[in-house]
Amino acid sequence: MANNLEWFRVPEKIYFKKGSLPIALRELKDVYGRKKAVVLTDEAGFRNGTAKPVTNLLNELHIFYSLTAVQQSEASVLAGLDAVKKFEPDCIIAVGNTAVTAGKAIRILYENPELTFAELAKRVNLRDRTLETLKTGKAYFVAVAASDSVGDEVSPFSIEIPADEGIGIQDYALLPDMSIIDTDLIQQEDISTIAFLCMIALGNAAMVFYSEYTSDYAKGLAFRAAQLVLTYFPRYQAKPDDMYVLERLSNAAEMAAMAFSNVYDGVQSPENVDCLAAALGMSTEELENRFDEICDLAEAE
Amino acid sequence: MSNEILVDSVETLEAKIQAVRAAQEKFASYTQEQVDTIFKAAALAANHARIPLAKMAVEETGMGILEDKVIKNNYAAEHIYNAYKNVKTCGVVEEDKAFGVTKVAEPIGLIAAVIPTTNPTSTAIFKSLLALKTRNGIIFSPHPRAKKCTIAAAKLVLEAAVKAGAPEGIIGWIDVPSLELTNTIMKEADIILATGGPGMVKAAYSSGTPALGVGAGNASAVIDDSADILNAVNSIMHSKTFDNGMICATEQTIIAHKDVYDAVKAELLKRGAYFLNDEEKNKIRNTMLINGALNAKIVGQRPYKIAELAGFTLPEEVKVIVGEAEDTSVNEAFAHEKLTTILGMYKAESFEDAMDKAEQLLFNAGGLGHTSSLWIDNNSAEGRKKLNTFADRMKTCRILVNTPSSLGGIGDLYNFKFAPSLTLGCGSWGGNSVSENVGVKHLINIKTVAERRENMLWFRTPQKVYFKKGCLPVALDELKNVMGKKRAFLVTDEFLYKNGFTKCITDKLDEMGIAYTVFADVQPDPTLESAQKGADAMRKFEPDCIIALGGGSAMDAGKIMWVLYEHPEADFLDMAMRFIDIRKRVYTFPKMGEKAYFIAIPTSSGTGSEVTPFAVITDQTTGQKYPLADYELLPNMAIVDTDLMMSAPKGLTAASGIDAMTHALEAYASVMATDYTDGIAIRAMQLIFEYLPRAYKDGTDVIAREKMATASTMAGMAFANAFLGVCHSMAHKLGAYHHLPHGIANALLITDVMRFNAAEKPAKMGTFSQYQYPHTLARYCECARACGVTGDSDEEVFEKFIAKLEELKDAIGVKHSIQEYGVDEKDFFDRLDQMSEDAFDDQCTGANPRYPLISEIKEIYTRNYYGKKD
Ligand SMILES: NC(=O)c1ccc[n+]([C@@H]2O[C@H](COP(=O)([O-])OP(=O)(O)OC[C@H]3O[C@@H](n4cnc5c(N)ncnc54)[C@H](O)[C@@H]3O)[C@@H](O)[C@H]2O)c1
Ligand SMILES: [Fe+2]
Repeated sequence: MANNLEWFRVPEKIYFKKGSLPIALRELKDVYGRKKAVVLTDEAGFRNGTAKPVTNLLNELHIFYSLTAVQQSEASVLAGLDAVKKFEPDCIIAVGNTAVTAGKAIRILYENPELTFAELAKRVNLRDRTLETLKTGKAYFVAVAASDSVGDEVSPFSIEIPADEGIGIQDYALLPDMSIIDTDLIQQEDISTIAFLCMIALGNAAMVFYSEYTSDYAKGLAFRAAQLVLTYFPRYQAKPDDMYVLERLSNAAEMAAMAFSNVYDGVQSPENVDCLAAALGMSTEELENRFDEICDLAEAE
Repeated sequence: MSNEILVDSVETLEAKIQAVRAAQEKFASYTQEQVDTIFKAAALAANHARIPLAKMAVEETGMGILEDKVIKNNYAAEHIYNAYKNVKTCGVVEEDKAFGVTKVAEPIGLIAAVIPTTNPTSTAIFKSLLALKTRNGIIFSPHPRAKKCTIAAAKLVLEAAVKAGAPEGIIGWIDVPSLELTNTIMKEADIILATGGPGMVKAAYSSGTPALGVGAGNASAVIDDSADILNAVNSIMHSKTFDNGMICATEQTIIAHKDVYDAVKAELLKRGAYFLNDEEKNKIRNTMLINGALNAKIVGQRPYKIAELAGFTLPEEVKVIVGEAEDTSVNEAFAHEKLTTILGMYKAESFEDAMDKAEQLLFNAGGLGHTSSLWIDNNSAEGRKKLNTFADRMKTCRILVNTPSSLGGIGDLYNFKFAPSLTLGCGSWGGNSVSENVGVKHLINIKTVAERRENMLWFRTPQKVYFKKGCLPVALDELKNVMGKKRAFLVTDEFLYKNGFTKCITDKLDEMGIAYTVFADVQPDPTLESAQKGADAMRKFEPDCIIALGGGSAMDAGKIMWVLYEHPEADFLDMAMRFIDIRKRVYTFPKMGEKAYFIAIPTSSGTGSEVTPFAVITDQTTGQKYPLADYELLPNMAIVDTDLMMSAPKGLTAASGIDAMTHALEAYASVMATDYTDGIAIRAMQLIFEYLPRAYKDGTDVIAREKMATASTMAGMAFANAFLGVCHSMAHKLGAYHHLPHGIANALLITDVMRFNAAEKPAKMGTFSQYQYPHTLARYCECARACGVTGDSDEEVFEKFIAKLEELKDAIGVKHSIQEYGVDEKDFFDRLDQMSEDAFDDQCTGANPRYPLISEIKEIYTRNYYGKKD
């Protein structure tokens, strides 16, 4: 049977706005009483101190932590898992896109010790409700957005893990327990980074309107996300240091990812923007032009 | 230059003040690095001169002990330097980028420093170093009997500082001190740093200039029966004889427990104390106090000298004179501060009695706020308990434990987190403005630069929201297959139960072999009483899962029962306490979900309660409504199945549909609206405009019913995160006072409230960091345009949007006035004032973009009582 049930699922707690990180992370201690954290970043972040705002706070909260660098690959997930198993944390905090992506897989493997990577890698259909549900709850999982983030903080995907399996692992158990989008952690100077974020947001929004499983929940978020990108990206170009604009664009990315996560059916459709253009009240051509312009900027290094 | 002014008159002092001020103005722009260089050089120079300065002090004052004064000078230079060498005192001293707070330190300006005879050089060194570290200028007013040595110390520090780059003349002094000049400098300085006797401190505080004055000491050492007597007695002897007892924190009396009194006495005798006989006691009493004031001649003297003055002889080797006493009143000389080598000694019947005596001495004979000391076995549990009681009772700012109080009180010698200082604050008990050991932080002004930051925001929904016609049994599958639940408790109302709404659930539960019980006694506007009944039933049944099925009433009742079931101790009054910020509220909501998983299943499209953290409950005895709001109340799962809504009668469809529209509109206009809530609120509005009239006209229209179900849940998600506004505040009270259905009450008010909110010049706007200016008109126009309204100006678009809403209301049969719903005119206006005030105080008012005045609420009610006249 195709679908006699639809759903809307997002992380239980999504916190956002400039300066939200220190307030949100405090809950680890005040609400959840956590004592031991593994903090994940990518290798560049490990060298450059991307996770510093997080580790500084953990010190302040007297939460004992270990910092680990990960990559988006099977080998790195397994190595990370090893480190986590040894440390036995009661929470895992991933900072930035790569770490969030790898962290989702590490967390699930840590919580389900009988599950092998190969078995996890077979879970590539979000809509397959016959799959046995994976456990979570031992390690509270926090996803923190950084400069390279494009919405994975709120999605149930572990993109490109493994690399050759379509979009990658998909399972609602991968959803973070808490997502934090604090623009203080996002460097806004680099236009290609911001254009990339906008490109993914628009692409996700278009997919939502095109998907056979679309819903009003997803459309409401996707429509607004697309509107935000189209309104605020030009403002970003004109004034890249405007915090307010960056905040709107990062919200757009998260909202589009939330919407996309709830309608995705395992097939990534072409960039068909007809339906989105119609909803926005613009011609397909006009939207395509705007889209292309953003893609060009995203790809120009 | 300025050094050449000899200050001996008011005129020359004025000139000096000008000169120091000029130097300080330059000094104010020095960097931390420059200041630290000067600070170090000055400290080094003072330390080098510790012996000559000590010699001068003893010679000039005739008090104290040379070798001990060397230690004091050394301490004032070295410990002060070490404590503050890395402390930031210039410019930005603290920065928190995330919270947008920067702290900037600035000098105060000119310090007037009054110096006592008891520590004339060490205190001068101490104060000059503090002044240099904080970029202040300082002028010393020495004691007439110690002026030479104080000036020598100040001069020496000045020379070293200037050599290291400080402005010429940054430190000054009065060469020929007099009361008049001391008063003048105290009046003209920017702050007074006064160390000395009570008279002088009082003068400092009375001068009108901010003062850091510190009071007199009168420490007593309580010796408990658990104390290590050897350690206690020898430490006290050591402390008491240091510089002949002139440090203000020095022990003045011993209060020994009767069980150890003799042992203490024996040890004192063994170590060189002399116990006075009655005749000698009286002689000492008469010498010690003159008209109730301490005789300056005995200060800082050895026992044989004091005896000589009193008219008897003692051998030179006597170290301390002890006078045993019983009276703790002001009349007993031994109860007073002595500043010399005389100790009073009392016998206590018990620890309790010892504390009583210590307290009486403080209150009767002086020393309130200064220092107390306790000798005790602080490693035993009982000892720690006694220590806590002692610390609790003594009204002193220093409570020293197993520590000689003179050198212990000045800090950093017997405890290394206790700030070193020669100016010890006595708090308000001692009539002082500081209660700590005075340091650099007391001599700078801290500016706090606070940049506007916006509040953290969030988006929270139940973990699982399931929807689609017929989804109920499929969704419930999880209860068994995923969650392994065994006992379900169903909450619903009688109507729904009798009409078989629960059947599809109970069938499914039977099929899965989950035991269940049904509570079908929920009333409209559920009461605390019925919720309590439900919770009692739950406690008997012990469900691991609660399923609330129905309209807002059943879902709200279910939430409350859930709370009462999991936390019977919770207090409703506390939970319902009005708050401004849900994250900062005083009450911490109990943690939910430990006993049962909560599933909400709506049967009408309107309240959105299945996805909100709110519940309203009425206390049947008082009629009081308790609106509860906390994300702990968020259901864990929401199941929105249109099959359950197909039979809703027209009245319910209309009222709940327009309620959902009001939720979307108020959430969008709320000061807490976010991009996330905006997106779903707009979609909800679009759906309601299109499908509510269809669902109303033809209840069997599946698509319309399904879209309305979605719209209502989405609007619920929007206001679950952005909250509502004053329309709901007013509707709540209209419902409570005149029994209008909730949705109808909203329908009657919403368009007029929108006009009220859209004003570009409101009487008061809402307070919320991210709400920067009244922009509600533009916000409504965003909704309007997204719902297909066009126009040339915002005003035009807004008017058309209002018209579109009126049209919607007409299409679903909403009447035009409160009056038309049968509300009695006299009753309405009789109770209007109270209703307006209650609406103003409703929890929903806080998020409204325009902060309403009570009179404005009354006007809106009045206008809508009669409605549109056309
Ligand atoms: N928690 C929240 O977020 C929230 C929001 C809005 C309102 N509320 C609360 O909800 C309550 C009002 O809720 P309500 O308006 O849904 O009223 P309700 O739950 O009292 O239901 C009204 C009547 O409609 C009947 N009914 C429900 N579904 C039906 C259906 N499908 N077919 C036929 N009849 C049906 C019920 O049996 C009931 O008699 C108030 O107590 C209000 O405070 C709560
Ligand atoms: Fe409502």
